[in-house]
Amino acid sequence: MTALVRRLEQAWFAEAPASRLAILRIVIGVYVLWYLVPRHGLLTELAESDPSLFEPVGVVSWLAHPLDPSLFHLLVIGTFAANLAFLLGWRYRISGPVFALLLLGVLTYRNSWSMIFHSDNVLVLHVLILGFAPAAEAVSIDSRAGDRDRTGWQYGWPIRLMCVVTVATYFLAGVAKVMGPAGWPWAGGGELLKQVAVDGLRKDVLGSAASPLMFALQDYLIVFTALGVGSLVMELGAPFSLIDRRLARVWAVSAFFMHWGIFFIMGITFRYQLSGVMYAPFFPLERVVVWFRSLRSGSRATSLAEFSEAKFR
Amino acid sequence: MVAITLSPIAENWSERPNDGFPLSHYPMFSAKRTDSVRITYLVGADSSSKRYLLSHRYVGPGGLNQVRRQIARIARRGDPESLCRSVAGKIVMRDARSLREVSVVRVVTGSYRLTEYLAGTLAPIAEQEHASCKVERRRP
Repeated sequence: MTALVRRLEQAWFAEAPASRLAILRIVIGVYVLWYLVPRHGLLTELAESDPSLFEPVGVVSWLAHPLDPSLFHLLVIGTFAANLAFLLGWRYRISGPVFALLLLGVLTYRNSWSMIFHSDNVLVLHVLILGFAPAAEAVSIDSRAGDRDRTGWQYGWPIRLMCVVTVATYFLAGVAKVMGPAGWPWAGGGELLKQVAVDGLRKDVLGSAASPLMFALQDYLIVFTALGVGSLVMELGAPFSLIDRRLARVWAVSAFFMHWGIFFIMGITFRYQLSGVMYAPFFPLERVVVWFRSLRSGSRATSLAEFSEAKFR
Repeated sequence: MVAITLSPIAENWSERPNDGFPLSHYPMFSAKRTDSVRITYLVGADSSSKRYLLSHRYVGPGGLNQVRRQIARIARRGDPESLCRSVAGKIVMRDARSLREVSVVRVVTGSYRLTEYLAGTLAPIAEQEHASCKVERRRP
């Protein structure tokens, strides 16, 4: 029993440097800014859509009618401001939760117009975890000099939670496939080819273009079988990757390439996944910062290899 | 948080599964597809009945899949005539060279065969019209 508790404790409350969590805050904060700001016009236009197309989901499902477009516009501007404060780690005890809740609200509203963009799900969950975690105790306006060297379990568990939430979503996608009408034969590849073809047909009919790779590969069912089996192994096996840190990193890299495969074959852009930012919690990002710092300070002897021996893996 | 993230798994056993945001059971790609596919879209035609598939960008913002769902919803429950007029108006306003000959816009649901599509045919086996309107250009 004690061994089990110790193992759980090690898994969930392992110590991590404050800078690792802080860098995740910065990387994800920059990503959201890059993602949202160019979509400002789209969000504004969407809020002015035909009210009959409004199908509220999630935290806005209580809305009987769409919000006044000017109110939604204000919320979007507020989200940008909170995003900046989150990114810089300014008054984080307030700006962290405020940004997390505003992003949840704005993206849920954006997904309430007849279509849910599943690629945004994990992004929102990651920001919710970071927003309520002590992610600005290093590399931030709030932090003091020397804070970046702090370590503790309070910086470790949010990162662990981000990893667990990430693999949980893949597991759910795998369960949906085998529990769906196609069942386990989904792995055979025939269903996947049909899914890819339906997606391509929709693109062609609605003024976009299907991926040429789809037409090139259609006669090779073995490719789709490999992709089907590979997807199911990746999705249903995702929770098992958490048993070992290295295995989890291999899983993260494989999932990243799977999304690039989907992009080339189907032309579907899962931005958070394709950017690689979604898998950042699986890696000790602070080592990159330490490496850059050492380069700046002219310590040529220091290399990434030395940091691989660092205390916190 | 982990339990909440996993909670939509129950939708797999529900008779009427409900998708949500940011919590989902990720039903995409899990539907079983037959060879026959129905899609609702907009198509233009010129005076010689040549067909022009109209981009989702003439309908509204949000990307192809969101607009696709919106067109289907409007055709099913809404007002396809006003969608048709709105797209015809945008064709005139944007004045794209490739659509200058388009004189009629139609909102249709087309039935396609996947096998034919994969063989290189992008033509519906049947088309049901929901609305039709003229593209009215002012001549100088």
